[in-house]
Amino acid sequence: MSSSTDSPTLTTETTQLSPQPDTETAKPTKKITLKSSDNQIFEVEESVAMEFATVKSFFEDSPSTDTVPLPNVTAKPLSQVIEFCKEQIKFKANPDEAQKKKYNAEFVTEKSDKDLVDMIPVANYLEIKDLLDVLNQAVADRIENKSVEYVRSFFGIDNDFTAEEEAALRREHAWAYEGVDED
Amino acid sequence: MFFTLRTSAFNFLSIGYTILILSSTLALRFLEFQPSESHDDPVQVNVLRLKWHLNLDCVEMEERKWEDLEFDCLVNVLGRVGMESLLLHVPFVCRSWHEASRSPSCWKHLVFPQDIHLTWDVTLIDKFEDYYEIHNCSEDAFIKFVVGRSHGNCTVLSLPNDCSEEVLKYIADKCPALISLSLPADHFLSSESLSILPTLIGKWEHLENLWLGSSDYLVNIITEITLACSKFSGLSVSSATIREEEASAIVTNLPNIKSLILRGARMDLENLVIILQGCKNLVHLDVRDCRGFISDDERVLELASNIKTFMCEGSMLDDDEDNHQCFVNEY
Repeated sequence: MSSSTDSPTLTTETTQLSPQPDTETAKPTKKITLKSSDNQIFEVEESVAMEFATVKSFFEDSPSTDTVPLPNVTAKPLSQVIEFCKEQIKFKANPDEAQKKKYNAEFVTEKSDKDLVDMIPVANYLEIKDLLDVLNQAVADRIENKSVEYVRSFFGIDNDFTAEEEAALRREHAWAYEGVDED
Repeated sequence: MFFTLRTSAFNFLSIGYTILILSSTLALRFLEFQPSESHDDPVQVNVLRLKWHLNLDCVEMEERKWEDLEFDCLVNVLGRVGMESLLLHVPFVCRSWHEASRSPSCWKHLVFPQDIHLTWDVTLIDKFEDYYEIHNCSEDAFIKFVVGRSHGNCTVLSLPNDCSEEVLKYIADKCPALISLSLPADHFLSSESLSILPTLIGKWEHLENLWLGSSDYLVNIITEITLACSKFSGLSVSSATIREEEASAIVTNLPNIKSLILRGARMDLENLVIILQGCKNLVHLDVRDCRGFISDDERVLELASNIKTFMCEGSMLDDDEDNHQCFVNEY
């Protein structure tokens, strides 16, 4: 994942980047360091980091920061999100709707169910609207017309209904339906 | 309960952000008097500290779980799973999904199966009856129940074949936000209920796209669209018969239409020419498999040359009148 040059730089905290010069002001090619909740360090181009609305507003408030901690975000989904945003930057520079659509489709097709499920809260937290749209649609497509048990295991959700509650739920729906019928 | 807590956390965060923006503005003003920006700047450092503090305060360190994903995000996913899942599966997954499935935002895009009641197959209504222990659920009641869930937020609606007048009236009253409406017709039955459609169009002032299963009452419908729907941009009519009357109505009332789909229509060359000459803003015109002109007619191709997507494959002159007549006589 981190071996190709296109992947985000992934190092452990101990082997962290060279210290930033204290007096330097922001440059266009500046790198920004993101730190995941499992203490992985990601060095990304500023333009990529600015795709994350959360990080962007963070920097607008505190322009001289160099490391942004992301306490909600683990390394794996973060690296995938960065990979997606890097491509989006290229499409911003050279707009090609057909290519972009193709890339977005391939991006989700090759991901496992778990990858998609793990990325959604990350894209949501980082406020990356385009990615969230792509992910939400992909996940929705994968669970469409699947059984309740399938959906639970897909998302790793525990059933918190008691048998009585579930039965009541079905009756409740019936009442709602009959209410409309009387109209 | 999860959501209440989360919402307050988010409110707190946004208040925090406001404070921060205010303080950063102050900080920047202060910095204007400094020769260069420095990390040692005391105001800036304080802002940073405040920021870290807020961030760590508001965000729980544990990994988020799907059950308590932010409500809006969950609703965004659930709004895309389709009607069957939303009705039959999603509410039973867990409590928070049940609550989310009741949000009108999940019911903005409603695509009904074309056939919801068949005697020879299990349809969505049969499953609905089975899941919710309801007996004899009528087609009308089912459609009204589902549409009612949107609480007026429905923007995209694709109805099943041949809806009753009652359903159409209900939709007109309950779906004022409609942007796209699809009304298929079963071609083996008459579409009498469509006669009411022209009187209802006025209720959908945001309507942009309309798909019709037949060209019955088309002229009246188009006239009403012009009066009520200022953003209207796309019309699709299947199995249409486009005579001069219809072609002129399209040109007169919808001169700025962007998308027109008349695939499989009976339409003579001169009527297609009327449309091509009158609708100069078309970006999409689909007249494939039509009867009444040939697909490589030079005049048509020239007039259509500035339309971004023009499709006319499979269209031919209707020289099969005799065969057609035989076919009709046989049946």
